[in-house]
Amino acid sequence: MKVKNIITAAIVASFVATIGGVQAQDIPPASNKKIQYSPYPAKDFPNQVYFGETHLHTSYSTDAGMTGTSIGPDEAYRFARGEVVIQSHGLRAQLIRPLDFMVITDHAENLGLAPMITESNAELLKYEFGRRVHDLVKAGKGDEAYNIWIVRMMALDDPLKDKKMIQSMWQRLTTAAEKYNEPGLFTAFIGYEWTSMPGGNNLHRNLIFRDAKDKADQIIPFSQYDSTDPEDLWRWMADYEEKTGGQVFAAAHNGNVSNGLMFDDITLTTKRPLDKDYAERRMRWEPLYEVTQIKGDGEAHPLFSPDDEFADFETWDKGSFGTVAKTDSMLAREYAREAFKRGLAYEQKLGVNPFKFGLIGATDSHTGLSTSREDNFFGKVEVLAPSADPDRMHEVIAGRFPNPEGKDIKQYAWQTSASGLAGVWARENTRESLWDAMARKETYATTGTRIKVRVFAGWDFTESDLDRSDFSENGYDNGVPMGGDLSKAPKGKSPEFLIRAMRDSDGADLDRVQVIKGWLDKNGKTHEQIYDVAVSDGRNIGKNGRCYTPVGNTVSVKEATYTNAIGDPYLTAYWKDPDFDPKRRAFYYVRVLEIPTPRWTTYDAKVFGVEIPKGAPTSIQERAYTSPIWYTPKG
Amino acid sequence: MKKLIKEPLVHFILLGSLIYGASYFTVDNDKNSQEIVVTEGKLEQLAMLFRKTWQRPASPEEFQNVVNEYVLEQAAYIEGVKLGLNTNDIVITRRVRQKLDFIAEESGPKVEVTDKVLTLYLKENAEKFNTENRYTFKQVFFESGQQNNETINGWLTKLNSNAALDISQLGKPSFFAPLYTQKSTSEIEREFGINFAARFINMPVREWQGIIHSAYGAHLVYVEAKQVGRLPSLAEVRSKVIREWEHEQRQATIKNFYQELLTRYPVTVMWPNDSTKVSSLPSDKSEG
Repeated sequence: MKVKNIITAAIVASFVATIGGVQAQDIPPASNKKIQYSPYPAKDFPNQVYFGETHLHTSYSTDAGMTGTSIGPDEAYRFARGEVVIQSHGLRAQLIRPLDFMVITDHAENLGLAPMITESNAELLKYEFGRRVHDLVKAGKGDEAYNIWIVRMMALDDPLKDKKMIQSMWQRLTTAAEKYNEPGLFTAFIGYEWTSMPGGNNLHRNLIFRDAKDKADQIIPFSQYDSTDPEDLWRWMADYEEKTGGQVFAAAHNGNVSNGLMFDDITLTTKRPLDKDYAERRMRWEPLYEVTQIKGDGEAHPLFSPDDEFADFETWDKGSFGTVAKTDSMLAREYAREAFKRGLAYEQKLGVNPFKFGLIGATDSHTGLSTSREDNFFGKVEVLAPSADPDRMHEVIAGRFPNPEGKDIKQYAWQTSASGLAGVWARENTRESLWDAMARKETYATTGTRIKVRVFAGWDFTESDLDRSDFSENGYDNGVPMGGDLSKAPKGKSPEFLIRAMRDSDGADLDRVQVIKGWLDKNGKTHEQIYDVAVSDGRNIGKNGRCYTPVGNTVSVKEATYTNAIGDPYLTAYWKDPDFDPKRRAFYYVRVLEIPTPRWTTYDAKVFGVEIPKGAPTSIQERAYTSPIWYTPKG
Repeated sequence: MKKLIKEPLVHFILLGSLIYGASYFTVDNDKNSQEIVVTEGKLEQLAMLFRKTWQRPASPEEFQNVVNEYVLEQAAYIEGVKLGLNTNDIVITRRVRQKLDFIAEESGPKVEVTDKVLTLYLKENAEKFNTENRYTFKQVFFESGQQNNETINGWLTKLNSNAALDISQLGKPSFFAPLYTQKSTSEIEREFGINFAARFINMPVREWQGIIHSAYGAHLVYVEAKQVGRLPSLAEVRSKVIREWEHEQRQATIKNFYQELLTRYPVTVMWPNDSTKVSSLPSDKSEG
């Protein structure tokens, strides 16, 4: 942006506004259309980051509505837009600031069963199953009703094969999205969750539609009753696009509870090695992956990143929702960083990278409340809502079936993470603008706070570009943003990166900015390397690119407070890969770390006077992960 | 499997009883009676449960809400019993209440909403529909720790005495734009933080102001133009007005339903004369 031009233009604009009326005869004749005087119509690059939720459940999800969540889509949208909402147990809840967008992703499987029971829906009561669960609930036996439903659901035996019924529930959701979608102010996407869980292993995908109700109403959600295989989901998505002319993508989540299925080397049903066709389809339909959420963080695992002291963050690695304990070989196929690395090897072999996805974070909250901040965490489900009740911390929420070998596969409520959020770089807060940005992976994940981070990579940047007032425009003109691709390395050049990170404007200072590089060597082996590229408080970065001096910790555990006496409010970096080989495939993504702040369990201890569970860290470092930028050698 | 799934519900019930009081398990009112009596013992129990949950006594307002909630649950419950649902159980009490919410909504008047009604609603709820204030402002940003306040205040004086001063190279010009055009309060919040944005409401126009701290450092700010939010016409925000009007109708219908319901049940809350007698009651609740 040319500063001088803006100011001059503004002055001229106000001048014209003042005198234009009386001196109309001085207005010049219409100009030659080829000349564009005003620079702004040509500026269409993303200039704003929008924060939102892409994974939220309301009472329309049967596992939420039948276990105590009374918040429906209306209240959920109101909450996301910043209003005070009375949550299901009567507590007042509000966000620090409104979200910019949200996708309500209720489970497709028997969508809306709980509200239908509540209202004694006549359609539901036509069915024996409907009457049975209805009467049980009304007789105070909600638990029995829930058992009956979940056994059928897990057995893939749809107890209500009624397309019309699902359709009417689905259309209530699309109506609610239309009602709360306000272009420019708040985007309510239409979406839902496909809940595939073979053997208790999580292969869930959230579908996010670019379209409005007119198109979305032409389908009913494809569910795991239809198929548990993502390849079938992709076929259905293709049908949707063909039938309606609309657009939809899917984002998977929780590879960490998939027991190795999320980024597997073979297909789910046919058990064949991944091939080029599979890779193309996967990337056609799944540009993004939800890398962090309440059920743990899925960026990296310490087993594969032993030199990364920040890798063991909110880790869930005991098993899945089934009975099988986790093994190392499963872990290798569950985390984003490993998938990025293996994707390079696949690309070399198949010509297409099946794991070339961008990153977002979301909550997966089942309370209708999208809360991702540590000091405002309303829990995974209603049973775990804020309270002094021991269940808030000690309820077992995964690995509840006994493991046959007697291994401990339990994950407890205190291990749930107050996470995450999606940051999307776009031009406008509309369905179209945000969806397109997500489809091109210009996104990043945060573990719940609103860290701002921007990265450009190119071949001709210099350190002084960091201080340009047209930082973004220069970045787009001469490089690629997060989620982008580099190729054709000029002779003797290495990729150069311009990075700006700013703290949550109402949050904690930053500790450091890192570039995480992964590459494939000439023997087909993958590697990773972490570079600290900007650190706070004048600390030094060593010759090996690392700063091993911790930022410090201001957290008072007793008071559940911290101060910004350490860290920096923003960090910038110009970084050039010191070890670049133009013949080798590579990826680079940026990780930004905040200074330590109290974990939600520490806030709970202060508010309710309860003990912090053994094993729970008293403070954590919130972080952001950008989508990678990939380097692919030419030819 | 059964045990597994059963548990959350059990916990849910226990949690509900903690928060709402043991009323879910022990309805002490006679099922056929039309009167709802909240005894002093019950009040103490409710107060104790609040304390146990929140580790502090309830404020008078909070406690009034707890009691109101209890009375409503009882009324709803007795209604439920009349409907033949006479299992004394927490879940049913809750469900009956939800069901009554639904009946209330369904039985509410189905008014075809007219433009007249909507226009009136728009005017009466202007704060919901007013557009935000928008500001066109220049700013100069100083990195935290780079310059002391004295230096920055020196610049403030210079800027105010010399309108021609070029600000484009002042402070750290690269990070924030020198000119922001027509930014709403929430857009300013998003960029600079809540506290920074809050300063704009009362900021004088066409005068350099400072030092104003954002999340990132110190700023000098010059508001060139302030466009005060206005009430849009119905045509501009029609769908939003309908949405809000419907939401309010729904809330009001439910509230009226319960108010009407309660008129059929004389309610006696035995507030103690001497509040100290009930150890865990909020201290100034005795006048109730």
